[in-house]
Amino acid sequence: MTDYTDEELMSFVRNQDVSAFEELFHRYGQRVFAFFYRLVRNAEQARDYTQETFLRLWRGRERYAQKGRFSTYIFQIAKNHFLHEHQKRKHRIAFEHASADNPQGALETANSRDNAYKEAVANEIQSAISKAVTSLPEIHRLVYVLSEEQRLSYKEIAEILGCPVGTVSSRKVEAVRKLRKLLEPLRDEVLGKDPQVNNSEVEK
Amino acid sequence: MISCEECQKKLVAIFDNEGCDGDEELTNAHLRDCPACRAFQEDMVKIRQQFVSVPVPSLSPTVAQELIPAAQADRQQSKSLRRNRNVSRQPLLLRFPRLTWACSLAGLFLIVISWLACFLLVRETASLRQELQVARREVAVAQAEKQLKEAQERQQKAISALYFRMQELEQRVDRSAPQRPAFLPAERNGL
Repeated sequence: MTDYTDEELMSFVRNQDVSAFEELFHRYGQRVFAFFYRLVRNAEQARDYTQETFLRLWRGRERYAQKGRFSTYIFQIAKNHFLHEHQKRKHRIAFEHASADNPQGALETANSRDNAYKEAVANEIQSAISKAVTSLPEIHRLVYVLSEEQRLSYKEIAEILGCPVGTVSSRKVEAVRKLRKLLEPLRDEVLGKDPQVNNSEVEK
Repeated sequence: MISCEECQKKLVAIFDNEGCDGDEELTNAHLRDCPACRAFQEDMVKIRQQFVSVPVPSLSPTVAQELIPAAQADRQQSKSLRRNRNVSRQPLLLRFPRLTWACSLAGLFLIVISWLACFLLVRETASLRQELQVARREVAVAQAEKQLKEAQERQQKAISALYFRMQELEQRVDRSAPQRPAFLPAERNGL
């Protein structure tokens, strides 16, 4: 099974070959898990999402049409599952709303909700970055994670998200801007001091 | 000279290996004179480095242990569903062999019943046809009798009318004729 391409394996999966499915899981399980982990910053949740994504892949095996790359297909399923779950969670958690509308406010809300955040700023810079990424609105978060974590091209991301390449590009820029804004209070710790540029110039 | 907006867009694209020819020259020219975009570039690189360096825990092997049996179970379920679907696609008579016998018997029964009905109908029709012929004959006889009676009546009327006419004529002849002695039989005959 290891000699076959992803697309060939998927054609076996279409014929109910569980070993081909297992091979695909071995190839993509960790990548999909990392994708979800970057998005939700919760290993347990990312694990559940990964499991559900592969179950959806298995159950929808007959709908698979070999048009593009398999990686695009699996991340499409993952993205759809993430958005579906996110939609459900939106009703429950006001935090998500705040993050979509006001990223700075989201970080402040996160600070107030999670008292350990300030400690994280001091001790775990990476955690702060992760928190900032998870505070991004989902459309920007998806683009950022697919681009930075999965190293996918804009074309592939556009295929996964079902939008034009230009939209991906502008969302990516927007995501970087929002992250800068979110990390502005932690600029010294996370981004390092930049004596030449003051804040007003950066905001410009 | 490009704007800060364009420069930042191009910077992100260049770092994602999505830049076009000439983008680097344009952005470098802009960056030389724009501290804000330089700060943007530095921040973008640092955020990227920090983000990528965040360790991702490895996926628990229990996921595969749960997933593969679930897929196998789903396959079994879909197989049995397909089998049921195939069975349900078979003709009804193949799915229920006794039904064949029942249908054959019912068909035979229907044939016998219809044959009997036909036989009775034919017999009934023949007897009705005979009755009709008899009735037609009776009607014809009655009509003939009626015509005969009418003819006799007409004849009777004509005879009586003729009789009265003769009497009338005789009376006229008697009144207009001179008193003569009674004719001899030879005169009367014109001799």
